[in-house]
Amino acid sequence: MFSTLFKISGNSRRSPKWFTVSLAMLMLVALGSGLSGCDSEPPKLMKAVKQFKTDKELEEHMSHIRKDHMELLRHKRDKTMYLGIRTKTNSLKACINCHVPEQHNGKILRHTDPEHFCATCHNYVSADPDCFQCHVDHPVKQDVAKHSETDSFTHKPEVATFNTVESQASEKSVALADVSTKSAESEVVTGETSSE
Amino acid sequence: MNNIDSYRRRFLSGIGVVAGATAAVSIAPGVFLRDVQAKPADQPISSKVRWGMLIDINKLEDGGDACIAACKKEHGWGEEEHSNDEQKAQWIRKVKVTEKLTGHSFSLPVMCQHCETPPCVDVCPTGASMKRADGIVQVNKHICIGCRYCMMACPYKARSFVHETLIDQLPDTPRGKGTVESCNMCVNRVDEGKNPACVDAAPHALLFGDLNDPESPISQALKKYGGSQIRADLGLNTGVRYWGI
Amino acid sequence: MATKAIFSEVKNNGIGYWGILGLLGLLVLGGLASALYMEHHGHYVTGMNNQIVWGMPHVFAIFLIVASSGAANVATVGTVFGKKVYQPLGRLSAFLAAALLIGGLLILLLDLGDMAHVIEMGYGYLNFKSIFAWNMILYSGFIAILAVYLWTMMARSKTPRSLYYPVGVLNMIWRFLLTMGTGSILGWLVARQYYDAAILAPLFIIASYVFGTALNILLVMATYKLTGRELGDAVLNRLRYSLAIFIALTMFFEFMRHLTNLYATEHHGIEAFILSGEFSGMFWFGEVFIGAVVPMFLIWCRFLKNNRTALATAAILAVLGGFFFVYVNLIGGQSYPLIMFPNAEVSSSYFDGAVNQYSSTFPEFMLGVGGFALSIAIVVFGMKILRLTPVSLADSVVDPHYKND
Repeated sequence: MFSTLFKISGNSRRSPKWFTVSLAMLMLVALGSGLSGCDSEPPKLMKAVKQFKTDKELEEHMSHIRKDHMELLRHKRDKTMYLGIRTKTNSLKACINCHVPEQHNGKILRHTDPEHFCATCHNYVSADPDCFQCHVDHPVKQDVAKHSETDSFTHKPEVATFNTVESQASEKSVALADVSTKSAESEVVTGETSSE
Repeated sequence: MNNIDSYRRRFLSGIGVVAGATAAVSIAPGVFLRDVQAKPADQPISSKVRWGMLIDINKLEDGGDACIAACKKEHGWGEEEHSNDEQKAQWIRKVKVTEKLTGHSFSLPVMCQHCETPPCVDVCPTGASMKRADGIVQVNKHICIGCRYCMMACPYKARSFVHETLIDQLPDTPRGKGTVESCNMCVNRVDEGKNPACVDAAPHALLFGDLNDPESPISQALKKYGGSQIRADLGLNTGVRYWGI
Repeated sequence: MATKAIFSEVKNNGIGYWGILGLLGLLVLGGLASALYMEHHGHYVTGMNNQIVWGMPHVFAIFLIVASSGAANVATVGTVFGKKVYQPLGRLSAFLAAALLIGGLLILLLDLGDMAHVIEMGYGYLNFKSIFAWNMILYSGFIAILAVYLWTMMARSKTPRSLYYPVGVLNMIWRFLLTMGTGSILGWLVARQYYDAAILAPLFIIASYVFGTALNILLVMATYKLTGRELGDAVLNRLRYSLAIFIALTMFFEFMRHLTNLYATEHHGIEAFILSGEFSGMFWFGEVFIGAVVPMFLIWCRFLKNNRTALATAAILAVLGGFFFVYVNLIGGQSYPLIMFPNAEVSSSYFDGAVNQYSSTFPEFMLGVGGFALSIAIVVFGMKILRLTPVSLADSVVDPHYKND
């Protein structure tokens, strides 16, 4: 039922349920491994594409992100959704672009692979975030050649298209001219444009 | 918020102003455009802006096919391998209309009309179906439970449900199984100061801009010639307007 | 509790009882397996699509939720209107209502595209302009009220029993709001031709009485047959005639709705579609003939007076008719294309202007059946552990002055 779930999830805003749950699981795992052998090591993570210049920066980044990455991502997600703020800081896309290589051993590295940066730790602590149900899990360069690089309004070729269309449509516009003054007017004026 | 004006797009200038602009293209009589200024990435959007689109279907020789292709390329929908044709996503489609009495026929691209008071936003139990301050209607898939009530409520059939697991989505268009999606006016591009992909695919027929800015080319064009809404009877005050329907 | 009827748990312990429960359990497991299958693959394994967005699971869910509200009506009549004949059935009626609601809501939940995101609603992502959001409160509130209501009926101490009447009234008002809310899920959709009508709220309320009463009749008859307890005509005939009246009222509201639609040119298309087009068989034969005409005949025909087989048949047909009612409304309403350009032929790759076809696949049908089975299983099990049923519903116990003539 919606209702039951809705009720039990009435947790404090600062620590989400799944955070609490995964924390509890982490503690369980820690306890388990502690009992089985005290020398268990956290998993080795894949190296990021870009590296910090100093060890201090790296330390700061790691301690901050390790603890707060969920809160940061969550906060950023709402800022982007509602306010359109798209800075690179704390953006999942930026994390992925730096932490996941485009290819690994000639293959695309997916979040289901244990070597994937996110998967390595999440598998270790049995956390199962659903980010990658929608977000792509590896760097993808969107084909930007056609649209994004320049503003289309500065494209000269488009004007040519514009004119040819007019000549094709002119027959129709004559017929329409009698019926609707509105469209007739617009056709006449665009006619001027094409004669420029 | 004074800085809004500084980065708000100003498409329009009078003819005299445009004379000085380097690369200006006429899109409608007496309407000239110049380069778009982007909103700084760290600034929030403003309710002073309301993005809108004007589509002149008489100039769309292909009925919008190029726009649809551009949208597919930008957002990556329509390639769901397990879904059948009825289940595949379509953010924008070409609708052919033939009036029964007169036989008058025309085609137009139909997508989310970005209503001022969207029925999909009213019915959504979680608030996932949302309207941004700048008038763009979209789905916050993080909190979409996939109940499809918005699809029942939309008068334009603008929404699709993702019926299967997806991989290799495009980075700027996250989309996935069990959530609803629709045209978001290329919100990622708009935030960067670009036009929606469909507008760039047919700039001779589509005009994008700020409906709240009386100086914008779209406002001027609409003021001069008007613009039809689909199902205007519902009073939704759509952000997408048409010429020639 | 005002009646002096003696209540007890169901004492059956043989193969019959556990067999029924086991069979229901298998259906529930089938439903759960279907839900897992749908969740794993996504909705492409169902017949639902971007045109028919709500399918068979929603038919079952809406039926169960509407029936739930109606099922509690038997208790209401006993409490609020003081009809003593109904009071012995109050506990079972309220318990049945809760069970039906749980079954219906579980179907809805399991059909969601992303169940995990439901948890996000706990962080305040709730939109109170949505009737869906209100319904979540109405549904969970209803279960809470039913629990208190059952307590006031079953407790021995004085305090809860003094709450019997006020809780009964609250329950009745809540039920009105709840079924209104369910009807308004469709009734407030401006986009679709077959919905967008205020009459859907009262229509659903009165239909809920039909479904609920029919299910109560079937449950009581089956229980008393299988437990070997005495069931008199006094109580059964009350239910019998109220069922017929509720059916007649539903038909009246349905008649008014279609008459109103037929008057407005804009609705001629959808009316033709439902009344004489693709859904005419389901409407006329399923909803009207099977669901209304035949049951009313079976109940009001003088030669079938006190005939239990006729009553059971009438109740089964009323339930069947109820499914047809929901199906025609839900699937029929979605099958008819949206009218974006009136008086024009419209076509597109997205099936604009086309009549949408829907056929459910096995998993989604099984999910609905599983939900229904869960509701019944809860009742069957509840009767075993709670004193829900009077040991006798003989005429002498229920109404000493009853004369069967």
